[in-house]
Amino acid sequence: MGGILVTGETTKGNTLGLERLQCRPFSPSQMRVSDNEGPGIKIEAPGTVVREIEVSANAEQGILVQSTAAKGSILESMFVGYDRSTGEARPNGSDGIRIRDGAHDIEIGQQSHLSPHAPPAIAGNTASGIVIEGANTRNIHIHQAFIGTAAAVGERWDDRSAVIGNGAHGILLTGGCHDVVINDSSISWVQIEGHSEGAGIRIDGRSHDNLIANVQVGIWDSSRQNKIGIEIAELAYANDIGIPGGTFSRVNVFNSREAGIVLASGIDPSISVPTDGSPILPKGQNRIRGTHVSNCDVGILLKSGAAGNQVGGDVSEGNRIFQNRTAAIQLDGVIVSRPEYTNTITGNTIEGIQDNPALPANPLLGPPSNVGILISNGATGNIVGGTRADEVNTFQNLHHGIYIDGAEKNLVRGSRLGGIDGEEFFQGERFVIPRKLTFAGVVVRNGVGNVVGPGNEIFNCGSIGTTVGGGVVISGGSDNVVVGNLIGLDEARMLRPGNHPDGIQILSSARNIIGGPRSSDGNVIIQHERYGVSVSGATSSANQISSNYIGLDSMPEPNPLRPNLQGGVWIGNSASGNIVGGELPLTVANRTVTVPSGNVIQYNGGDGVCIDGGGAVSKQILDNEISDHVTGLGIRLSNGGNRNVLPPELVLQDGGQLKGTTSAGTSNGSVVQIFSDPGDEGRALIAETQVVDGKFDVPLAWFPYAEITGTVTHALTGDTSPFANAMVATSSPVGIEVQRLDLPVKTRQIANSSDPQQVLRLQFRTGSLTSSVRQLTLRATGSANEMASIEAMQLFRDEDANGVVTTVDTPIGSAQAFEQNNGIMTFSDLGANLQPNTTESWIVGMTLSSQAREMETFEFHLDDGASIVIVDPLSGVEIVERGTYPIVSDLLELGNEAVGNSYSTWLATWLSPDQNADERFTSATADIDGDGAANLIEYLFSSNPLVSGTAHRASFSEADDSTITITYEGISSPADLGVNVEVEAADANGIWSSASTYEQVKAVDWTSNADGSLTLRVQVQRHLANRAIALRLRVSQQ
Amino acid sequence: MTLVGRNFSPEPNQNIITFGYLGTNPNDPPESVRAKVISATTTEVVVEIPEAARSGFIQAAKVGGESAFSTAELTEPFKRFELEPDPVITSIFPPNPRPGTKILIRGTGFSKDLSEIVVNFAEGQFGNVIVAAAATEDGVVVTIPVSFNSNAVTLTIGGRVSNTFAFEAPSLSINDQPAWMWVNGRADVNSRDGELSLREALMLANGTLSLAELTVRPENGGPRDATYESDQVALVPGTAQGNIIRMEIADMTLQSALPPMFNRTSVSGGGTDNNGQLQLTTVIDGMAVDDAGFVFDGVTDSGLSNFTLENFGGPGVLLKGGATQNNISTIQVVNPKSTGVLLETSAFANSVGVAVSEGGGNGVVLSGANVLENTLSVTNFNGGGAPEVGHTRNAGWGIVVENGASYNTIGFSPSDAQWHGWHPRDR
Repeated sequence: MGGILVTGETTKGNTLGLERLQCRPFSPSQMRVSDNEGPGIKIEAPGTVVREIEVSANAEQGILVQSTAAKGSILESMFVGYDRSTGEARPNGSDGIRIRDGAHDIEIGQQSHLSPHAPPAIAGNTASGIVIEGANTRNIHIHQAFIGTAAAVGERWDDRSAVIGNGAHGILLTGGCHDVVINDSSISWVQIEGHSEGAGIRIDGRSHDNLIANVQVGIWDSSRQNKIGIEIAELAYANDIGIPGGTFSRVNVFNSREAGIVLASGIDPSISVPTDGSPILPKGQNRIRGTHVSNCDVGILLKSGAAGNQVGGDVSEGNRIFQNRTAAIQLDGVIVSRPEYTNTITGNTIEGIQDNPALPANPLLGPPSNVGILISNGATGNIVGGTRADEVNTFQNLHHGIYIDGAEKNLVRGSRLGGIDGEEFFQGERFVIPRKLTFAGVVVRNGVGNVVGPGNEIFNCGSIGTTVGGGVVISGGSDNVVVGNLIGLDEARMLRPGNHPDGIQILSSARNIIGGPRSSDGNVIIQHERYGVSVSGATSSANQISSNYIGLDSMPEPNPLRPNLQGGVWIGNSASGNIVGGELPLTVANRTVTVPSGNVIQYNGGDGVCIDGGGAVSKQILDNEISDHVTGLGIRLSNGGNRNVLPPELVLQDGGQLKGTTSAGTSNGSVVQIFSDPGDEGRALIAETQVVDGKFDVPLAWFPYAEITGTVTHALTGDTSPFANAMVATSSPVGIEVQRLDLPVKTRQIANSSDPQQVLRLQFRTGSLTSSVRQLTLRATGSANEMASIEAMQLFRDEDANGVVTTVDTPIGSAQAFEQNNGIMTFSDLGANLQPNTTESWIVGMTLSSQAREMETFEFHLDDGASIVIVDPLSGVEIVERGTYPIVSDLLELGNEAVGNSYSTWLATWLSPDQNADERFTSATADIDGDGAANLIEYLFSSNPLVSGTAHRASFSEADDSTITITYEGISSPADLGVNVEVEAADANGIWSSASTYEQVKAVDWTSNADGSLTLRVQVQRHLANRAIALRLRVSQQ
Repeated sequence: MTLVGRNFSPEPNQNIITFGYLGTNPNDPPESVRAKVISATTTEVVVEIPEAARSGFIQAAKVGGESAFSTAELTEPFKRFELEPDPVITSIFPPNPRPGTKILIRGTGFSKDLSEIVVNFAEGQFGNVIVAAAATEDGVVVTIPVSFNSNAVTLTIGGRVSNTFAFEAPSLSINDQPAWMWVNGRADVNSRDGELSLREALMLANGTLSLAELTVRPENGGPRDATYESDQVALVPGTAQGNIIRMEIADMTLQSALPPMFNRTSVSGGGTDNNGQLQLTTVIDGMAVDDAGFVFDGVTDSGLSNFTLENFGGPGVLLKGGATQNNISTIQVVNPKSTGVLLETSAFANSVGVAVSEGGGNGVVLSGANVLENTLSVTNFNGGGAPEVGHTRNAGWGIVVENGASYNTIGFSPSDAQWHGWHPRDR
């Protein structure tokens, strides 16, 4: 039996202890309920109040509240588990307070810091301080309270010295309890400390929708440590830790011996994985926002099984995680097997140990320390960082920003790694003083298939004068990708310090890709102490460095020329088989093509590319733009690198024919690339051919710079030579360049309209001769039925250069019936002249028969240079042309609407299959490229959701009568979208509101364009000339 | 009332907000009444709820809506209006309270938010406005004003006015002084031995023994210096304001159950022992008594203090039958066979300060639907330490509150450990 039993549904409103406002705090005479054989107090009745009672040394729980009848109870002030008069432990035999079996609507602790009663203290109990348990146990609010701290008589509530942790956890929410709020909403807080073998707060057992805010878990005194600050485990879900932005709503987690916050919840093993690929909502969805986590071994630890949780948000929701010994955030063995399992980690401010201790002698050996985010122990498939500017994670004052250690297929993006000593910038609520990262921005050690980027800004990382470290260090492992990052600068293009010593280092690691197939995949790698990219070690092979800007910013303003001081790319120490530039496969709309992916390597100190050392061989250096290396060479082979292969010798002939020879032993099929350059390097690739019998002979279509150089890459070894001795281009180029203009290749819907549908947009760039396109042959692919559906085809000059067929565009020749000759369409006898030294675009149009059926598809190829015949109209002599063949059209799909399309088809056009399975990419409101245009808007304008700024913007004009006309062009009109026009006024603060009684819509005018798109013009009559108004389209799915 | 939604007109009178009522027949058209809109933004309107509003739907529309504009729309949970029912008083307890005492008002439609409650001891909303002491959805506790001059009570809960509940509240006639009785006999007898026993004093108080019967010289000539047992009595019990029985002895043994307590009678122990030393308590051994020690059955305004009650077969102290506003303090109950102290059957607003130890059952039990507003003070007699529940070696619980006993306070109040007589408690 126990001390006090209050029981019965009709037994209500009883008070145990002092009545309200009987003020006698800190008196030694408060009632003590102790030394009972059962619980001290057992409550099974509604509305019971406990106030100013010591409950100690009972054999079971101190206070047990149970049953659904126990609702509306208030445990306002009590001292559970210790002697109130001496502050010494008198443990209850189990938990201090246990609430279970459907008890609900219960208040624990002082509801006001002005209360005359002492706040409760629950300390020294054998098990946990407070346990809230059970699926129907809910709506429990813990206000100001001290868990693990005892106060002797005479001590003030804020002057407690006796720390007597409970034996297990401070607070345990378990068994599915929900809507528990641990939050003092005043200047006081809930303080939890001293649980050396448990967690300050643990939430487990599918408990959900609980809130923790204004809580102090651990304090600065390390002797008062919890083992773990807050732990969320065992499928606890949808719990909130912290409320961002509130004055009294922050969770502080200090001084946990192991981890400040542990997330180990999300994946429900009891749910079988559907075989149709449909998503499984993870049970995680816990949110950690606005917290301060410091002085722990790991700040926030995500463990195996964590899924679907959110750490941070935008910068106003981010956590400040600082002064933690091993890592601010660690993903320890977290395997994300499905897209929906991803934990999001965004908007956090991550700072290291205050006086950033010295690096170990070899930072790549042994366990890392002072890391921003550590991804380790086989963690797979995680995504760190977001896509929006306001989601950026910032890192400073660390050894390593992000450290991927033995982990696979993780993606780190959208992070700002670095900082300048003493410089402040404003983030969230406060100014921060960023300081540098002493080893590297990102380290990938023994990792496989990880992706660094896009959107990371990595600068001022590493230490001056060292040989290892820098922006990104890949050590061991393989198949990692570094894509789309700013390395050595930040998004604002401020004059940031570069990294030390190199921008990117690959150390004994294979098959990594720095950059990618598209120019947007490349990294900007500038202003480093030594090299932009260095590759070393005998096992560093088959790495490819493509599409990067090295030594030169991709943006022309404000400071484009920022060299890497000792060179652009350095490959040495027996690294072999690596590629600088070259080609990479590009998959668009489920089709894969191989595209040239050269780098821009310019303006570096030292050499553009240096292959150093006799063991450093078999390097392809192809398709790059290398130039302006004043103190070095464009390509240098030193110490026997690339077997010291010799460059070709060039002889330019009149009429633009270039001939040359290669050194002895150059096998047939070796590739010669010819460049135009202002000096002796290769700023512009102008031609490519192969060696036959030690010779080559290639017509040059154009050469924009004064000098001509070239390289040879041996077919058998892959070794690329330095640039050939430059020769002056003494004659004008006479050829012509042909390329497709409307890249990238995609799936595109067309309509069965009497108007011609755009098939392909070609660009011709002419040399010094007037050229005449005489014949153009396209090969169409498709079924016999599809071929039969093509009625006619025609060429147009794109006079208005808008990329689509309009009334102003000039037909070239007449429309020709499509003859189903094996799908070959030949435009002959064209006689279309192109003026010298100009650029002109043509559109290939197609008209379908009325018999064409929905979902038929069409694709056209310009297979090679033989498909197009260009002659000098005077002499009739054929003019050499250069193109990147095959030129392939979009996959044209006949839709079921006038300008047919559907949202899902549009998504499939732009997104990869993985992205298409991820709601974060596919939702109507997603803004993948962060340009402020959500998917539906991008869809409306048929723009690219992956490239910022491609969504159309409106143009405005105002007439004298205060009529404003707003024009949106290029709108598609898919049937699954509804478009309404609303006029709203914005006040001085930019707050929108309807202004129907003031501004009037005078006219809404939709016009159809030849390409099937629509133009919307809205005329609005201003009410007052100086009144700000704004117009916006409301787009919704129907 | 503020309603949240979207596409409202910022011009208040451009919005049409109606409070609808769905009739019982679903085929009937809904009735609705338009509300006055006080202010508006595009996302909020503040309306005055029409007097005729009934529970039902709220609908929003906008004047002059054009096709290019969206319709005003309310968001959940503002689409529906539930009119809160008026409070109804069904009873009060005790049914005939005295001015200056607490009562429990029972009914429906109450609120547990004290700030919403106004109690008027008058008919209608205007009268003596009293703030409630405690409240739930179906009960409000309040003290009747001493200057009570009405026979009705009305509640106002959040502006909603209850019915007026009428009741009788008898006023108290008060004499100048109580009758004092000094118990100087250790023997538990009612015989003319020249010494006044506790049993005789209680019989005097409850009127089963007259003072005249005690004014007889003892058969043996009387002990010591006492001539008549009536000499131990000042004033005549039953005619005085009340009775105060003061034990002059340190211990005694009961032979049978004591007479029941009587209204406005206070009994206090703590006499002197054989050596004339003052004692904290008088020890009464109830070994021969199978029933309770002191029984307060329907008794009001009585008191009991400074006793150690040992070995009773029933509770050492029993309050029942509507025992109201009695004050029991500094009582130790030792080794009761079952419950040490029991409050049951409508014990109301009593103050009990006790310590129970070595009992065969629970220490103190409050049990029953009308056991209300009692204050139980747990007392420690062991050198001034903290009062304790525990260390008492009772076989059951230290304190049990059950079977609907409500609004009681179980705790410690230093003042309860002191002698207060029968006067209304100063709380």
